[in-house]
Amino acid sequence: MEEIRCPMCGKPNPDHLEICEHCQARLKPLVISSDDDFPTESSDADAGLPDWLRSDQQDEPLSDADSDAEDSPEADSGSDDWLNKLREESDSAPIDISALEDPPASQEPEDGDWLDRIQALRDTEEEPQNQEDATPSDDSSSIFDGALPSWMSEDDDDAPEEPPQEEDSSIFDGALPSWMSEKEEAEIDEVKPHEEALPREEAVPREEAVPQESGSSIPDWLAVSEEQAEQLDEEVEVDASELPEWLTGSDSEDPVSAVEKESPAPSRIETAPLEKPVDGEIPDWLSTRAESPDDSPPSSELADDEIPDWMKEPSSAEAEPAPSISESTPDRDTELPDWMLEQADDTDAQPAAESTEGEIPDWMLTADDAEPPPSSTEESSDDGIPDWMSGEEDEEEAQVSTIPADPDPEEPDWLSGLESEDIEWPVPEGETPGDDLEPDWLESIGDDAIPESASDDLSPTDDDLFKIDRLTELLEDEDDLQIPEPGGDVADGLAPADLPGWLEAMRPVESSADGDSTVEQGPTEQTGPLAGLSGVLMAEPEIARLKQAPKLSSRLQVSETQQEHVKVFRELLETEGQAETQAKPIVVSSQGLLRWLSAFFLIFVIGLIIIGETQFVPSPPQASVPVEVLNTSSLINTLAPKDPVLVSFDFEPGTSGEMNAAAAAVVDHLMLRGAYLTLISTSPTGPALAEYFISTVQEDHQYTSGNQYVNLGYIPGGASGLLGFVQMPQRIKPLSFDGFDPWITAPLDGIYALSDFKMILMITDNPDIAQSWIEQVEPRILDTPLVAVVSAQAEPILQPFLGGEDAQVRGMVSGVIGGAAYEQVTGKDNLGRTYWDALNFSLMTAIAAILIGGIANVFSILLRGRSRGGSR
Amino acid sequence: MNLKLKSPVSTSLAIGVGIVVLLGYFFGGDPSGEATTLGLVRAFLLQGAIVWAAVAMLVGIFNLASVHLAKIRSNEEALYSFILLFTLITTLGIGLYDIVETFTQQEINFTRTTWVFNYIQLPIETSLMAVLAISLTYAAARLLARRLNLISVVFMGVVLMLLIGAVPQVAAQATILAEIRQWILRVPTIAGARGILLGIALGTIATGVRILTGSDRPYTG
Repeated sequence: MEEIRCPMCGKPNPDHLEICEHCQARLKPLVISSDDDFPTESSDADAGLPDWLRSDQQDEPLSDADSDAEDSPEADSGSDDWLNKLREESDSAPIDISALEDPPASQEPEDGDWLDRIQALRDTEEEPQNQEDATPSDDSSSIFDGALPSWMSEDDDDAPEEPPQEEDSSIFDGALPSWMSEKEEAEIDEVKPHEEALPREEAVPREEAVPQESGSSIPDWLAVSEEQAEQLDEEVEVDASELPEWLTGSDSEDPVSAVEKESPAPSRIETAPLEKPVDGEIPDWLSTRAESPDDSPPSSELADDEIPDWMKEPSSAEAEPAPSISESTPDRDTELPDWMLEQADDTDAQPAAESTEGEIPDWMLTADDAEPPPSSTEESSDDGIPDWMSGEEDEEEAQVSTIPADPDPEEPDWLSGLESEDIEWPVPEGETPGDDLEPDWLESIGDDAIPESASDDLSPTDDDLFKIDRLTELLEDEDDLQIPEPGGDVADGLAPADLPGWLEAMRPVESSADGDSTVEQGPTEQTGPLAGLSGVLMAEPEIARLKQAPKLSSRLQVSETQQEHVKVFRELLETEGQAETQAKPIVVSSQGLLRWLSAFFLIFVIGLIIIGETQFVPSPPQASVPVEVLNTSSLINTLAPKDPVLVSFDFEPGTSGEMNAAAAAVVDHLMLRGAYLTLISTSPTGPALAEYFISTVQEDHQYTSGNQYVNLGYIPGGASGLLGFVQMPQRIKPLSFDGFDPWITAPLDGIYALSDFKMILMITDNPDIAQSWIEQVEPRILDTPLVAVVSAQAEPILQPFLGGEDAQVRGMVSGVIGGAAYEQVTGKDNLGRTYWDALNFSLMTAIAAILIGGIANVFSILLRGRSRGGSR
Repeated sequence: MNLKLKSPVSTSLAIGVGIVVLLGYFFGGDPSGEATTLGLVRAFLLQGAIVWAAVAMLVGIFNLASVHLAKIRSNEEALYSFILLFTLITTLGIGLYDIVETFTQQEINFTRTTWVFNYIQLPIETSLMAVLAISLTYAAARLLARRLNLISVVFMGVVLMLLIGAVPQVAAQATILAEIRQWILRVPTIAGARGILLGIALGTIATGVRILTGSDRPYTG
């Protein structure tokens, strides 16, 4: 069983396998050598298109109308005889593609061993078939035998050194010059690794397009060269995935579309080739030469001479753009002719995309000047030369190239930079690349036919560009994008070029239209006085129209859960300082019971005695009457009738019961003595209590205000007011409580100071007030006695002011007991006696309550202590 | 210019008035009893102080009314505040009515004010004092239960001795208890009272000196 080594991994595989079982690489190349596979129909557009452009349409079905147009004499009318001949010969002798697929291994010294092995294997496998196919190939070469110029023949002479090359060169024997064939051979060999990378899907239709080219107006030698190159593409089949995108894209896609993908707004340079109509059947460069007798002879003459000069130019033109676009590989120098080496050396120093106006050759400018561009495609169709190759196109593209591309605001920087760079690239003075070696027409093709974008796109494959077929591919790609003008005239008798659907879909009409509109109108000004106008220079640069940075919220992003936590925590903190109010249990304690019992017994006893007006308790004995009480009575007894006595009522209504009982006997004694009472008070309620006392307690005496007594009212200011009253009684209290001036009537008319009073009686329950009286008044009253009637609670405080010869208080009656004692002295019962029984029983009840409660509490404590001790 | 004159002026005024009153206390009158200039100045200041004290009472009344009015608005013990304000306004209105009637009729007629005092204010305050007697009795009974120590026992013993000695029948029957009571009132009580009075006097002098020297400024609020 035979084995096939994988060209990729080198591992052996069974012969029947087509894909390497190790690396999944294809083992057998796809070879289409049968003429039956070739489409037999072509559209009108195909008829007008070059063959190499038609090769891209192999995937689309062709209509019958296309085939009719293809066979129309008008399409062939423009062709020269020699071209027709070539076509006929090529139709009659189909090219053996398989023969072209086998380049000699010797031509690939730089290729790897794997490629050699693949070639060797393929040679062995396809040797019988090649032998069969070699016959038509020889036939095809014989076609050119008589047409080849001498320089081509020389090249052919050199070719036999390389056996496989003979087959290839035999095709061009009659049509290609020798230098061109030699160059093609070298290029094919050099390009093979790159061509291997071409997708098979792309390569196959191109091979299928070969027979159609024979029917078109393109010279067969060019078609054959394409076939040869594309067949070489299939020799080594490499998975397309291993290729770089730019390389695959250049074959699978048209270059312009590839550029459009990269540049959203194509420049005029890019869109210009797209506007080329497809009406031309013959490349414009051919028509240009046909229309310019100065530069090139008519095509008929060329056919007669068989070695037309312009043929040299296309041959060189096909090879010319390559060195100008991309860099060359080091090995290529060995295989290139001298003139090409020189050109390559010159172009190596230049960037790949040199197609600016500075590089436009003179012949092109001359052609532009000499020939006005045809207004329609009719002229070119008459000559059988496509318009895109005509001088009109040359002129248009020259204009396009001379017009610097308007940098679209939306154009990517890389594209605009590339364009500007292209424009500014220096060109050697006095010479353009290939001026001396290249024919003018080749330069025109290189400059006109190949768009810059395409050249830029393909720049890395400089080796490819040295080949004619590669150049042809570029031209094909460019023509694929040629779109007929919407309102363009149709050539004489030619049906309008109805583009097939697939090509219609590829039309970048919208993009080109948008690009034009964008270039014409430009961006609309948004600000400034030119706001709303389009096509003006932007007042604001792009950087000035930057959007403001989004305002970030400074608010804290808090989720609902976090808010709930915050709420709970806040409530916890708020309730931290608040005391919890606990409901007090209603418990009937012994203490409460004791409190209620004490109150009940006290109220009951006192009420019972007051209501019963009982006086069964004996009055205090005379012997127990205190001395101060006796002194008070003695002092009052010294008073004469109408003697002014100052009586101060400085007690509160709450203690009025005690104070009334204590003072009743004393005041009664004064009234009995006929003293003129001058009532005064340092308490706000004192004047009212005084009136109450006089009118209620002492109502028996029938004292009236202004006659027996005078109520001076309230002295504000406390001790200060009392001091002022002591010094200036008439100024401090000019009016009485009733509103009259007491100081003008007797007995107060002779009173100028408190010392003028015969006696000062101080009735108070407050020891502080008593102290104020003692401290502020007593020193100013001289010999006037100060007698005090105080409550029982104030007695201990005032006791120090009693006693001795220099005592501040001469007499004092304290409480109910003192009043009752004073009553014993005067011998007249009063309130003291009324309250005496109640006082006795209330005191006894209180003592009993205190004793019983105290004892009970003590026992309860003791019992509680015992219970605690027992529990322990 | 923003001068803070409140504190220096008030302090100097207080100190000056205090010194004048103090000096007038000692040098306000000549030996014949006639008031000296210093005495007259002192009397003038005292007269002004009395008037200002009366005005201060009115201010106090309005302050009391405003406080309880605020309590009514805040619904804080509003019932008691309402009763207070109601009685205040009622009593004030009755008093003003009596004053106006007295001056219009040129006859003293404070019967309405006297009636309110005698039959409303006086019994209420007297009753509150009577309740105080009951509370003191209960407190004395609870004293030993809450604090059973020597001081409490001594305190309770003295209270019982004084109460028992104050009971006329007991004192008449047990003269010794009356003598003990009198001894307690004459000796330890007066001793304690004197000490309290001396302490009050010293405290008053110290306070007066502090005010005169500006160390204590209660008038600044």
